[in-house]
Amino acid sequence: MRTPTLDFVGNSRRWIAISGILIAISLLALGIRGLDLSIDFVGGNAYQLVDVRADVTAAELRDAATDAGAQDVTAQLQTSGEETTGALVRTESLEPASEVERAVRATLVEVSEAQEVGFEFVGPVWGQRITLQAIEALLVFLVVVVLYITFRLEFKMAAASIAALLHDIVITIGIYALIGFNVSPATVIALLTILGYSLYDSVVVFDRVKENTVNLGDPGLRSYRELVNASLNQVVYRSINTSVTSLLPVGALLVIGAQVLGATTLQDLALALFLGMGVGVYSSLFVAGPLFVWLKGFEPEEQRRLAKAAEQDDTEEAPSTAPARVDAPAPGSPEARAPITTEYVRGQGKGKKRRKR
Amino acid sequence: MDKRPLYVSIAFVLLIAVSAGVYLGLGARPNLGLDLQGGISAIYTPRLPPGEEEPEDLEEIIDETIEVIRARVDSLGVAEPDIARVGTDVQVQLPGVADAERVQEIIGTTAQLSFRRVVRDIPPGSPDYDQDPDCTAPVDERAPLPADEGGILCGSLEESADDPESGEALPMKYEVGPAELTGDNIEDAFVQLGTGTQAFQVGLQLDDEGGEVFAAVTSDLACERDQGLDGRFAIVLDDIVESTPGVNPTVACGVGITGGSATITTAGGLTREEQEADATDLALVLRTGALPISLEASTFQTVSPTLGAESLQAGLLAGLLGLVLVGLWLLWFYRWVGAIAVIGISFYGLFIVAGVALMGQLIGFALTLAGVAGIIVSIGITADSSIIYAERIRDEVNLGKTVRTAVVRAFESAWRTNLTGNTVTIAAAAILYFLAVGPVRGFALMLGISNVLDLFLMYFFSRPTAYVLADRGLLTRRSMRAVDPEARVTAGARA
Repeated sequence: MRTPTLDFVGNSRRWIAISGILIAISLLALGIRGLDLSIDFVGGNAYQLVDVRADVTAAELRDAATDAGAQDVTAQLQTSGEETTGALVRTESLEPASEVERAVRATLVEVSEAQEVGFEFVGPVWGQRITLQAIEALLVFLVVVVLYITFRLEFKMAAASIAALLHDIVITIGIYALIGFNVSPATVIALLTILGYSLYDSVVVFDRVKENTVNLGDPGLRSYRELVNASLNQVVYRSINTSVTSLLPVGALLVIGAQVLGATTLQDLALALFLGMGVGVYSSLFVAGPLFVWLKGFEPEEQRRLAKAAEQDDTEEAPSTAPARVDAPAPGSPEARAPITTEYVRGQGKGKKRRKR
Repeated sequence: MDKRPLYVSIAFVLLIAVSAGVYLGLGARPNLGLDLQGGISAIYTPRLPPGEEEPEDLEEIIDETIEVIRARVDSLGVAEPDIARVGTDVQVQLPGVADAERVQEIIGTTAQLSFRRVVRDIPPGSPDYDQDPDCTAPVDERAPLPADEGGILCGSLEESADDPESGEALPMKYEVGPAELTGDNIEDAFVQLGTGTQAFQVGLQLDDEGGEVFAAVTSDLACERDQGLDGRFAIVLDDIVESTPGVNPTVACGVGITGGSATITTAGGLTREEQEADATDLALVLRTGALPISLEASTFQTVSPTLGAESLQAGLLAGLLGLVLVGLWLLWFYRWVGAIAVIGISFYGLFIVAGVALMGQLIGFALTLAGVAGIIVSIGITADSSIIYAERIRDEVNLGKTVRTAVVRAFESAWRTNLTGNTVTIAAAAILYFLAVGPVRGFALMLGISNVLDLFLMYFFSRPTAYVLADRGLLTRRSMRAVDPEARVTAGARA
């Protein structure tokens, strides 16, 4: 199978435009619509009514709960196919087993004829506490990761990885705001997982770039610009396959979770994961890579390399509109084998340079 | 190349797989969390009385409070109640319980400390021992003894005596008078060393009112002692007699212990370590009684068993479906290397289920819905290590190496990449585990374990299997890139 020769870096303007628009929409949606936070963050009570009367309405449940003394009541019917099977009623925070709370529960059961009730209470302060803890965990994590990637690879790679990660998170949260999905602790878990995935993807890409740097200066790898592009092409199949194998189980979770009433946690998780991983694959290829090239562009050495490459392109009368186009096939592609293979066969190719490292 | 280590490594993994299979086959199953089996799951946060500052040993006082609650929870008849302190929060997990009102009542009530006079001891076997209360019944089902009344109370199980008839260890019973002092009167209690004797003792500091009452009571007790009676008082926490100290010979009848401070010396005939432990326990009991911490629900969740079971089914089904789909994809795309990956992922599934079951047995770990999600998410990570490896082999073969060399070279770089990537994820999992509370922890733990398992399988299973397959000629240039028709043409033309 041949290694593709796509131009990731050269078209970076296009990717910047796409990502920019997506981020702008996300931030706008977040600013205007805000997030629909579950009771876990703001405090409140939730009643999960199972096997309710088929013709019960949301308004009926809302009025019943309000009459029993609850405030800020929202009621949501849950259906399986055509049939109403359950309902989720949320109220403000009422102390469990207090008089009002018991009245609300009894009334809801009476009106809906529910067979079983799942109940959740979250105190008003608790939500803030776990939110703060999550943010704390996030910050610690980011610092650790920057240090690790810097130590293992390079600081500019760490910076590009973190940028790609923020990109993923902002867009995922933006989709939540835009569509109005409920944000639950499961969503937060999913977002944190997306962090891991996004970084993992970026690390795989940059690890390849780093490995290829020994060949910097070779034809087709004359500058970081070309080197990164070639590396991205080498990992593109891996990226696609990994996203497919990651999205398949999550997709299964999403589809099956939607069929089952109690599996809201699974569904919340799967939804955020599905969105985030999708964006994550895009960003590791189209955001992290080009961004790293851009950061490298400030180094005088890289500018010299670029100038030299441009000079060569001019003398070869290469089209100046696409300076970063990989005119020599990427190493590893069958086309590239002819000039390079001989060296490899003789054992003087890449292997020799590797030993030098 | 010596092939023996490769086979040993494969055999090693197979052996674990077979053990895991047998373990599960014999009926071992993971412990299920509350959200999967139904019940009440709650987190309580301690609330101090207004005006109280947070004491330094708050965590220990909460532990003592938990002990009190645990004794009460017995009355619910829960098979495996799990009450644990997480930081300064108290996590309560009651499988199969649906009575929220009762739970709230049991946990929300603060422990009451009182000092009462001992009227007489009723050891097991004595004629009156069969009177109420029944000391083997849960604390919550015994009739509470009001503060202004005397009656019979049970001692703590630690100070039990053997029943002369059955030889069974039963707690002492005491007939006691009404409460003379309560926890409110205690300002502080601490472990100290006695002057001169260097014995461990508990120092007690009472408030003004308590000091006066204490002086009067100890004066009476000293008189009783002089008359040849017992002259002891009982320290009672939550209707259980924790200790029954007497008054020292130096305390005079008609004077008592004045000044509002006293020391309680632990029983004689013990080693220094036992003395210290006794004194520490008693001081903690006194402090817990003095600081009535009320526990307030922060989260409270009841899950119906039906919903729990449905969630579990959904999770299992999704996990299986995910495994099958990923397996098919890998087989279709990578053929032989894909087959290694599929077996690797199946082992992953087997190991993780057996591992969780084992953790349940050994440390009482319970699998929650978030944990299930963590496992499913990790299927992708496990598949990825195989994908990276397969892609690297293909790259190396494309560069003109023989397959036998390619699998070794490819492993070196794939392993490095994978190690870096997994380290990031493991770091994420560890940080989440230690900094977060509630469902996030279960998820993080599963994610972390899965990543370690992934590295283990890649090194001890995928690597030797690929080496062996390449060596046997099953992994060929052709099979490595048979997918792309163009490449096949190129390869064919060159052949």
